[in-house]
Amino acid sequence: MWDLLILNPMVNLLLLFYRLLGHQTVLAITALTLVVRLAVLPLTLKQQQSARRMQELQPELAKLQKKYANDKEALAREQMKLYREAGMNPMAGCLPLLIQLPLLYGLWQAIMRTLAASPMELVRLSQNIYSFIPGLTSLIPLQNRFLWMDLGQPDPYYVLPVLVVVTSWLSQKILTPPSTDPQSAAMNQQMLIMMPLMFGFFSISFASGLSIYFIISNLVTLLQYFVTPRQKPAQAVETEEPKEAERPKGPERPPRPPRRKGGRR
Amino acid sequence: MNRRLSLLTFGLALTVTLLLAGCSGGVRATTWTTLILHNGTLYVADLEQVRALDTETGQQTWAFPPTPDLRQYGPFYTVTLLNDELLLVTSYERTGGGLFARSRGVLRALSLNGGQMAWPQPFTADGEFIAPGAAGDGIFVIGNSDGNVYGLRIEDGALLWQYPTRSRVWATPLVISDTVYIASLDHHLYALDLESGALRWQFGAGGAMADRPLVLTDTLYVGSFDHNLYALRLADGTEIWRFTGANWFWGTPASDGTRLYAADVDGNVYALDAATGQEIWRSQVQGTVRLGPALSPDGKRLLVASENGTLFGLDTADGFVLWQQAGQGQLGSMAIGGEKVYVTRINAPQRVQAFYVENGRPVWSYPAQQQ
Repeated sequence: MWDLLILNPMVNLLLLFYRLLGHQTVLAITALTLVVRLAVLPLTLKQQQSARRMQELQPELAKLQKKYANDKEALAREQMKLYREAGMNPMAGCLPLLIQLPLLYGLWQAIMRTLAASPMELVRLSQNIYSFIPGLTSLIPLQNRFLWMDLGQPDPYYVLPVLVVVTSWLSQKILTPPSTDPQSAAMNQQMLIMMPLMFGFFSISFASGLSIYFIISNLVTLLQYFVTPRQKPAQAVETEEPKEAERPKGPERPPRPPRRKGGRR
Repeated sequence: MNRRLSLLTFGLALTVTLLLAGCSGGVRATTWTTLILHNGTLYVADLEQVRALDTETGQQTWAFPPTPDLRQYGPFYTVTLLNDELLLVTSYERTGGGLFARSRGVLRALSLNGGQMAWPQPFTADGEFIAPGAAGDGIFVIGNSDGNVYGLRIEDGALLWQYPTRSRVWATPLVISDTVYIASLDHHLYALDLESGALRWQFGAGGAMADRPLVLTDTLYVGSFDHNLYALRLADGTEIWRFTGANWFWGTPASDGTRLYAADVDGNVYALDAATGQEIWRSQVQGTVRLGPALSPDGKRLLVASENGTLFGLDTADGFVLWQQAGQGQLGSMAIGGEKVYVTRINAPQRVQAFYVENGRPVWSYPAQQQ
């Protein structure tokens, strides 16, 4: 079922792009990555939106934490109330991620399968190609040379793994909402280091064609983040101290105004 | 919530990591293991070691290296018999140190009687050696994943010539008198001069070619990923006929001299008239078939190995499946000797097995199965 619904369409789409784009494997991987990212765009936007709204709620959450520092139950209740009033579901960021993961894993698998660096992968590939599209099997094996690399092998000079780590860190950084809870903040910090390192490890261990996918994918994430319009602060949120959050001066630092599209403040 | 989301993401990432890294432990094979039958001994490239096994009992007579040492030698994949004294083995080893260590294909000559190293130093190439080589007239020829075909002096392993193709060479060459015939994934079959490696002719198919051609008198038969099995004139590579199957033809066909038996990767098994390419019968086995079929010495049984680990015995008269023997792991290679068929398996506890050709009954396994 997985092959039928996810893997086979992606493998064949990759082969079609390869044919259309002059037998350039890197271009074909880029095109497929863009198409899949476009397909999951609504979900990604939802995830980013959720992260941003969470970011905007941080000052309110900080206040609640301070106020109910000794009453965990009340804190949880008030937090949920705040989320409800802000019209957001705290798990809203997870769902799009969960839906995207199979697609992104399928994309990963399709690239590895189509690059067929090993004979075993090539045998498996024979079962993924649509016979009703003429000429696809004649494209096998894909042109695997790109610059100094064999796309079916890891980059021997570690240029791609470094790029993967850097772009993963940047995209992870912008997607991670800041947290007022010290435990969560520490966890986020750990994730910010571990996830890029993990992708770097993949990049060292697997075909460099996969690193191309990681880099393109991370660049798309960054691009999406910078071109999508920012939401205004949660003005509609009413807490027990609604005015406090809006007051520019006070004992606590006011929330940072959102960045404007295309410019810095 | 942040914490929960972080934990969830991390958990998912870890799961994906483990799945992709193949957390199975042991040697992670990238290709199949091979075996060769010679004078009552089976020589097997068995990932961790090269072994000599007694064909009657499956008892090991020697192994190289004596104790497995993957760190030094990497996994062993192929064995080629050079003559009565030498065996050539290939492995994929990490060379160099630190961050810039690379894996390279390594070729060693071992003495047939005790597994001692016979060349002053091994021959190395950039890519992996996927298939065994072939020898003739003091020269050993082998293809490599780096796209080259190498011609080496058997005596000491010195490089005599190399012929570059446009893609990986995963096929075993065929040496007939002074010519080497070798297929490449670049969609071509090349006929090269054995002594110099110079091109004599080439045949272009519509798809990649991944195994050794078969020769019958003055005709070569080779399968391609373009779903065709080609009959070519040995002298100049001119196409005589082609037969179109349902999917890729990967393995070398088998023949009794008049009929040709071939299998495509979808498990369709075909019996064809070798002279005309006319279909005589068609049968089907379950699973993906990569390995070429093997014919029993009496010509009555056709053995077909599927990638899901099942060995099938077919009646050559009509293609009827007489028996099937399922097993764990993928089948790497098979060789028929007298009334027995020997197979290698990867990703399985029993890595070499012997069965009776007639009925598929198991004879022995290596390592021996625990009672």
